[in-house]
Amino acid sequence: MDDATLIKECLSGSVRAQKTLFDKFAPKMLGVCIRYCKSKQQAEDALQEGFIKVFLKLKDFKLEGSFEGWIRRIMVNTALDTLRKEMKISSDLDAEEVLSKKESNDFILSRLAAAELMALVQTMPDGYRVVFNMFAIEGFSHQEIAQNLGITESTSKSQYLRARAYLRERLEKDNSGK
Amino acid sequence: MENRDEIADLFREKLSGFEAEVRPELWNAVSSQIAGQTAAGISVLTKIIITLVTAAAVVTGVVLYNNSGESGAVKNEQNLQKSKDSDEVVPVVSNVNPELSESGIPQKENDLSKDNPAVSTPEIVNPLNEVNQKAERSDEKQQVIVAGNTDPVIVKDEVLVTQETEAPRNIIEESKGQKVEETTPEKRANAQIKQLPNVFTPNGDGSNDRFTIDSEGLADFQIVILNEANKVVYSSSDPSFAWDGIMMNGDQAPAGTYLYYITAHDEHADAISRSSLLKLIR
Repeated sequence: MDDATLIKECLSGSVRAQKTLFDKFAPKMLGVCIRYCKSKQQAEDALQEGFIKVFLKLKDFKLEGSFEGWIRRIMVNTALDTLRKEMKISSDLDAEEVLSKKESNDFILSRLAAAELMALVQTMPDGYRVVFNMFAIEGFSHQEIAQNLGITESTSKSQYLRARAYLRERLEKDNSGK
Repeated sequence: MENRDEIADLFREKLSGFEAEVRPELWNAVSSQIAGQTAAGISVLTKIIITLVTAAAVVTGVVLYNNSGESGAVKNEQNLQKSKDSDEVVPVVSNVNPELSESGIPQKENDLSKDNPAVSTPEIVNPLNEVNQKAERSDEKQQVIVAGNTDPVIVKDEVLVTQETEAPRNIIEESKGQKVEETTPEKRANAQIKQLPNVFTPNGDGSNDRFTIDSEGLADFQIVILNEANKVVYSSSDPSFAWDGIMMNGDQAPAGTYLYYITAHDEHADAISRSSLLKLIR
């Protein structure tokens, strides 16, 4: 069943269609929520709340864009809502400072397993993790991130660069250890 | 700028499609919430119709009585009848209010349910002053219901219970050595992870002392186990690993909830990525 048909049936109130939609997208969306949240429990809460929003706003979805992309945005926003209260992003760092650090390329990134990377993302401090997720994986601009999180654009940039440096350092350490 | 962000490319490539195991309880929670929305909407509508019909009937009745009263019947009785009838209307209309307050909750909590017919209810309420007072009183009820509406938290308790009860089932399935379709409902190639255990009891009693993953034909296998503080306590790239509950630093892993990620490739080099909670009981 394609997305358009599925949406139509969901809107007509078919519980079976709603279940199909949930089953189709929930595993991937839980993956998204986990990346943003501290714990899997928190991620599950976000997933649950996010899907309720998806179903309630389904009638507003324009069939032009990507349905998965639309759901993903809702999930990211819901996860951010749950995080926003407790998340502290320090703005003490200047983006330029991190930019100038030299980076080496002498390790093979592509051999790393997604499980390791996922675990690594999970271990990052809140600010790093959220900004890194939004910028690197979901492809938000720093301007969008700044608006969404109520921080400045340069904070978003510096958080991202720090996060990247953090990940790189971890990756290099792991790599040399093997 | 182009070549530099290989880290972003790497993580995007590997993680944007990462799937996690969704427990069926989550759908139940979502489903019951949406169902609540729809049901509330319908029943308010129904009540409105009932109310209108009742009101019409009462009006007709009153008119009939008045007519017959003019033709010489006892007026006192009519007045009694009239007041009885209008008394009956009040409870019917006020029934709408609990519904109204129920559908009002999501608006307060996450302003999603703008489609609830809350707007149309006051129109019916207004003609009767008495009912307005009741409507105010039902605001107090709202708060009570709001508190009751945070029920999904309770779902978590159920979850823990189900996790525990699932364990014996897993063991039975293992001993029969049959295909476990339930835990991996997606279409899979021959290479597969047969099930994702979620309980593990490394207490030396000989039963479920080692955490293993039953899999077949996987390449590039990797498992990482995190504790509640998101620290890596174990990792392995061997599909037939068996974790005995000893952390990488040599300490015994304490009882608690852990989270694990598994990634691998099947024989078509398609990525398999799964994760699940793991409850460690000692």
